[in-house]
Amino acid sequence: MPYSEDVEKILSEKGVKPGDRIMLKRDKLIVEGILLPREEVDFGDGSVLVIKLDNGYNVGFRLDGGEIVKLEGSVELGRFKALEKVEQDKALPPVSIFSTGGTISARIDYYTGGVSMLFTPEEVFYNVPEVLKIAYLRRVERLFSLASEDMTYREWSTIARRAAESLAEGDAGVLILHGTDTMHYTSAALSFMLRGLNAPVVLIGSQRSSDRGSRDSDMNIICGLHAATRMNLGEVVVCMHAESGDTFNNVIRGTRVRKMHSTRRDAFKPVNSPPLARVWPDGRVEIIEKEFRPRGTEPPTVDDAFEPKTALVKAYPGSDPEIIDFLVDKGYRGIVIEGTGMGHVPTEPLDGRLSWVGSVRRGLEESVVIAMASQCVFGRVDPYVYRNARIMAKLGVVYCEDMLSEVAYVKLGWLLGHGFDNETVKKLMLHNFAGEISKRSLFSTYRL
Amino acid sequence: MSPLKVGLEFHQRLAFHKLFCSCPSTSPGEASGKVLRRLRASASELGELDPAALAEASRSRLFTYHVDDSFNCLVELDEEPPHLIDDEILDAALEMALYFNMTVVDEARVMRKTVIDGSNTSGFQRTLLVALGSNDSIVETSEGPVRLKSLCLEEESAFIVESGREAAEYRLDRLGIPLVEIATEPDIKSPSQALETAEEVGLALRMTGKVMRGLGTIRQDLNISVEGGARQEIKGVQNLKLIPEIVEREALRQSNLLRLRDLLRARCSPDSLTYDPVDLTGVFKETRSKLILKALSKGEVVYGLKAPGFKGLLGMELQPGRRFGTELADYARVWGGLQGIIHTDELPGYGISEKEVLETCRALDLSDDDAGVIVVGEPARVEAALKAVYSRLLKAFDGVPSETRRALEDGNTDYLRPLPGSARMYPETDIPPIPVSRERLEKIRMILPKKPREKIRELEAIGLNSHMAQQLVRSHYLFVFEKSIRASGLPPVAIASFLLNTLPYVRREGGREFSDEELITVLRTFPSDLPREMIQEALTLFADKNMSLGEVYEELRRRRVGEEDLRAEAKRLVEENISYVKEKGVDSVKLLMGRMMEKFRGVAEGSTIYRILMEEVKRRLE
Repeated sequence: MPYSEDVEKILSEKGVKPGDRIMLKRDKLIVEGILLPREEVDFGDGSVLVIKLDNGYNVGFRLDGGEIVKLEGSVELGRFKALEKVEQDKALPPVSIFSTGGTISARIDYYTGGVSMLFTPEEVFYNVPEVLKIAYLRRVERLFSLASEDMTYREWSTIARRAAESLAEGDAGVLILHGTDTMHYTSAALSFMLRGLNAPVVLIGSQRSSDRGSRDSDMNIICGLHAATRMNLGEVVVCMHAESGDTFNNVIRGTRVRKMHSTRRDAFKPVNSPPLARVWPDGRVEIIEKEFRPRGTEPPTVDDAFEPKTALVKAYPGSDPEIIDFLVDKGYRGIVIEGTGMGHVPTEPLDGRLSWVGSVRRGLEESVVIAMASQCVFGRVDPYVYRNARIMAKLGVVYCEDMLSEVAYVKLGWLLGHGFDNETVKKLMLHNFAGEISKRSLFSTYRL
Repeated sequence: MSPLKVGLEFHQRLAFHKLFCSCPSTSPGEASGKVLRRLRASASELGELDPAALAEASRSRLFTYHVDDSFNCLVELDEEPPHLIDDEILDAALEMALYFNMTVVDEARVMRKTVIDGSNTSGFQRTLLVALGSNDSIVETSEGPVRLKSLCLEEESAFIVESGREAAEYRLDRLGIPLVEIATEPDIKSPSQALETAEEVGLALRMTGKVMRGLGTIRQDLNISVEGGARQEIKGVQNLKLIPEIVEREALRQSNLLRLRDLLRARCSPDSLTYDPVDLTGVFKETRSKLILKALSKGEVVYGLKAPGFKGLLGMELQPGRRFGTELADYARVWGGLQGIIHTDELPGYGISEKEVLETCRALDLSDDDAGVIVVGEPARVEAALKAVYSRLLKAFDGVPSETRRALEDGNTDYLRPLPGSARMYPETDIPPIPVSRERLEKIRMILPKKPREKIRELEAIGLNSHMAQQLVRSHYLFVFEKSIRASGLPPVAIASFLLNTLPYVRREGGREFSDEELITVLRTFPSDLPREMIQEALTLFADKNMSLGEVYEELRRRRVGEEDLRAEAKRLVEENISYVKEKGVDSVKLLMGRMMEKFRGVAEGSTIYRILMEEVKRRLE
């Protein structure tokens, strides 16, 4: 919270504003330093003055009848030093970088600790000078400054269009800087929306803030650029730390990746598929999965239709099927159910009101496409083993094989956006567009 | 000597789990895994640098962290945000602040202090200022009061296992242990007062009963300046007794540097010193110097720099065993990663021939007053080292540069890095501000520990003599003593004697350290029918053999030697030495007691042995 009214009043009487050098005298206490603003969302107390001492510490003291004296030596807060222009080597492979927000695009104000979104090519060069030897950054552009959970299909569409334009202009690859929480939704969306991709579109993010020496962003940028410039790849991929250590990154297909840990650097894991490759900061690339779409000569087309009335719903013990009724009533056109195990929902609970059969049947009758994926994350759904699933399949629920539930959600929204009839949508849900679905479940791909 | 100003930063580990997570602070466990990391510098820290220079600066070392679930979690690995600070840990720091009459902040704010030497996985150390001092926050010493400046609560760094030019290894068991840092104003005026201040602060902190003890749990930094000199921050003094020596030698170093400056200024001006390195590799192409030969065989180079007016000054002793040349070597080591330098004041030497010396002087264009600095190594390192040496030579014209220095075991110091600015510190955004209410402070104020003098009187009242009472208050065992006497069948004097005499003896003999809990448990329950000499054995059985207390005392009762056995041995000894006994009379007990103790130490009470022996001697003499 900002300063309280009382404090604001006293400050304005004294002509003191954040950034000014002040002395606070209170009983035996004498504190001298720079008055700081309070953060907007702050658990603290608005009547406490925050002062940066000369030794660097921030401290909070209540005024409590003490006296504020304005001193010489104000500083300008929140100003980032302008960085000098840097000459690039234009013989290197051209790349465009688009920043969309998230930790990787955030910069801290060292005075206040406030975070702001800034992004210029120079910032990349000054933070990650190695970049100057890997690629020619033809364009560095901030598309939005959004935390990844604030993204929608509209932003997916913007990213897809800008990436396609860049590739049409001759880029060797595109790097997307993204918040990590929903990066795997965006990577899936781009995988479907960019048709006939001729070069790598690489998403990277950062699990540690960029102010600290231990940040993972630099290595992710370096490895991401190596992947974007060196790989013979025409797919959307995520390139993030493979291990907790700063050793190498995994390049994972955009439809086969999931954030599996809330905080670790190696949060992104391939699901039901090996990583496509490993990339080291020194530029080495080791191909793991040999089957992928290679680079092409024609730039991609953008197919960014999306039906926003698409939902992702989780079934759990005691879950009430009214949620399905609600969505149907609200005019939803598609629902992905994240079922238990091989794709189950309650069908014969002791309390009959909690059976999903009636609500799912009604949804299907009212022309909603309902698809099933597993909340186990790993493995394949199967509608034939247990009765619960057989009932669902018989009603007409599409069982999405080994597709991730998040990917199934994005894919269903994308397909519905095209205005196909429901039978076509159901059929296409099981068509492999971007490596999101496969016939074989490999022994080696269940690795946590 | 010029007037001296010393400030002290006293670091003391607290006896709690870690500050920003719940990992234990004491864990002897073996590391089971390794994580490799690199830390990177930011443009914002390095100021106006061009990207190429930045690249060089951030060509970071590889850090290997030894990890184990028994002593670290994801927080120490910088893989999870810090947890909130436990109330009891902050309370301990508040208690210490109030004890010293300091003004506690109304809202504490956790800061990040940039550290990229690998000693913290995140690239910064978390620290918060808890209280500020005023003129009433005083440590009394016999040479006058010393004001306290601030009290901070911070996390301990990782333990360094191995450090090299390209890589370093750390263990994560120590990282995150809570410690308080108490800084004094530069009120200290003598080496002995510096020691006394440190001792008094340490004593006061121990009175709270909330500090860790043992090797490495206390560490001092010293801020030293001499009139006309400059402030030095000397890091990592673990042995209190070394403080006076360090202060003395630093004062000496500074006054010598001032003398060197005056000599230098009399010879030439700083303008005559320019950065013009000369390639001397050719001079040494047929050298017999093993050092240079080895380097050249690896494709390394030899470069020299003219130091005009420095003749004889590079060899000038600043501290016992450390010359001005050693200071230059420090710069070459820190900035260039080289082992050291060679300078013309020490030539011929290192197997370098007279002819090579002459040619070097000619190549560097040295006249009578000049000296030359020679460095050997890979070209990039040589350049970095020579630039650093040049900057240090230049500073010699001004006198004493402000530096962060490292305490060496002999009381000398060497160069670590430049003094940091406050820019190294910025807010820890993952932890909300911590309000400290008046009520909380009042509650703590009610139960503040007693001052040492009061405590000594209290101990005397329960039967300790004044020497013992003072010793106990100054020891690390006051807390154990007080916890133990409350429930123990042993008299307070016996417990004090065990803690003050027996334990140090056990330690000197190479015995193991016991934890506070182990000591308290055994001292509280030790049965009155067993000889007190068996306390140590009880501890060993309890702590090492994993026996229950019941089993321990059962075992000791089996081992105890009864009066009959003692008497039988006493009789035997008296008979064996009968002529000696007859000659010396009752005095012979002294010698025989020694023999008895050799046999029965720890399994029978000394006073019982003495009584029986005396009885037997007297009986035989009758």
